[in-house]
Amino acid sequence: MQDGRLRIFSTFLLSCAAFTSVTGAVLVFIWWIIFARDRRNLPRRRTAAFIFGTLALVALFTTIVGGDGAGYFLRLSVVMLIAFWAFGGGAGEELFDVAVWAFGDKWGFDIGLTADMALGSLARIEDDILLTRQAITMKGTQGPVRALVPLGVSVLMVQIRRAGCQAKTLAVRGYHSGGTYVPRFNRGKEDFVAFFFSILIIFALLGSFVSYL
Amino acid sequence: MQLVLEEVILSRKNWSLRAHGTFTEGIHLITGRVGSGKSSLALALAGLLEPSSGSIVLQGIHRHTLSMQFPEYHTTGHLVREEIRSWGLEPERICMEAGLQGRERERSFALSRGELKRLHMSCILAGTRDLLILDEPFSTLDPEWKHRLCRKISSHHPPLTLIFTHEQAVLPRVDYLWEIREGSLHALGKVPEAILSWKGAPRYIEEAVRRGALPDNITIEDTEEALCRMED
Repeated sequence: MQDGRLRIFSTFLLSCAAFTSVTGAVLVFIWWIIFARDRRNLPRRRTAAFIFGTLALVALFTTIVGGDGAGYFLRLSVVMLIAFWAFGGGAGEELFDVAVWAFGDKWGFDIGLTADMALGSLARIEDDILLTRQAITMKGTQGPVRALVPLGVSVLMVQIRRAGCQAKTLAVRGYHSGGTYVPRFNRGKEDFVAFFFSILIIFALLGSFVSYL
Repeated sequence: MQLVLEEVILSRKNWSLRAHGTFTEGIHLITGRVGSGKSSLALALAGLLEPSSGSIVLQGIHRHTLSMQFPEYHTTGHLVREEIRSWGLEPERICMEAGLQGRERERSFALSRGELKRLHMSCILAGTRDLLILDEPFSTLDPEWKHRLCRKISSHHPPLTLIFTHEQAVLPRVDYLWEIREGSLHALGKVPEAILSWKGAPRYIEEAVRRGALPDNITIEDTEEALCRMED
């Protein structure tokens, strides 16, 4: 799917559908197999293991306290797959296009810029986590569980420092608020087909979606 | 004690680096442009990055570590003293060495990046190791602290020390020169002879060589001395 507008709408609809029910998650998973085949953007093995491992832990806990852990795991896993498809390849520029198209040069520019910077930071977090883990391993002073807190703090502080540098750079370049930006969109026939099916899925689940809300 | 690289290839997407050679005991300076692969090679030599092919063999090396360019990655202690203790060191002495006397109770991340780098370098150089790999040890340091670090490296270095840097102004005395260019690691040889084939040499060395003076080593002081000798 090349058109950023259609991708964002599809992401919203598919995420709602997958989160609402297990049936929705299965339908969205089928949609993902068919329409996301060229752009899955799955993360590295370790990152994927961390994300899905965390989901599995929460699901296990949910099951222990009497909830539907398996259903939770399935629904959230499919939501994650849709998120990787939509944003895993770094869709910052695309969000910029969509924000300016939807909200104009003032608010749209600010929202788009924020989204672009946020996705840029997310893309770097993976490397930050890897390097921090390696540095902590070399120190050899803590076990993997005890290292989690310093790991989290280090990654957070690196991100905050980087965000501070970006903010200063923008200020130095004269950014105050808003700006001029011409959004560009490409789309093919498959974009509409995929978008149409995402609407179809949400309509098929309308009953359970409304009752969930 | 030596580190042997056998037909190593590091690669990702449209980039690759070939490396072949042996790092024997002494201080080695590995230079190259930004993006040439210095940090990737440093990670690989520390065993943290798997080469696409070839092998890296540590012979007689039992304890080694890598100092990454950004000290934040190494920082695990909330307070300065906790950070120093996490390296198994005594806070007061290290604070003194890093120019942070009386700041043991400050938050580590409240230090400026330069101060954090000083703290990190003081910790890493205080340890006892067979192999020390320093990736851009001079970045974010002011000239005075770069000079101090050079002196510290010269006086307290482990048997095998590898310095990866693109620093062009303040450099320590070294034994061997290596250069990464055109996707390959080139062994230039022992200093001072290696200086003649150093394509990315700092301006002051280039100028001295152009005038016919070969410094004994790569520091500004060595270069000045070589130029003075020539004038005598």
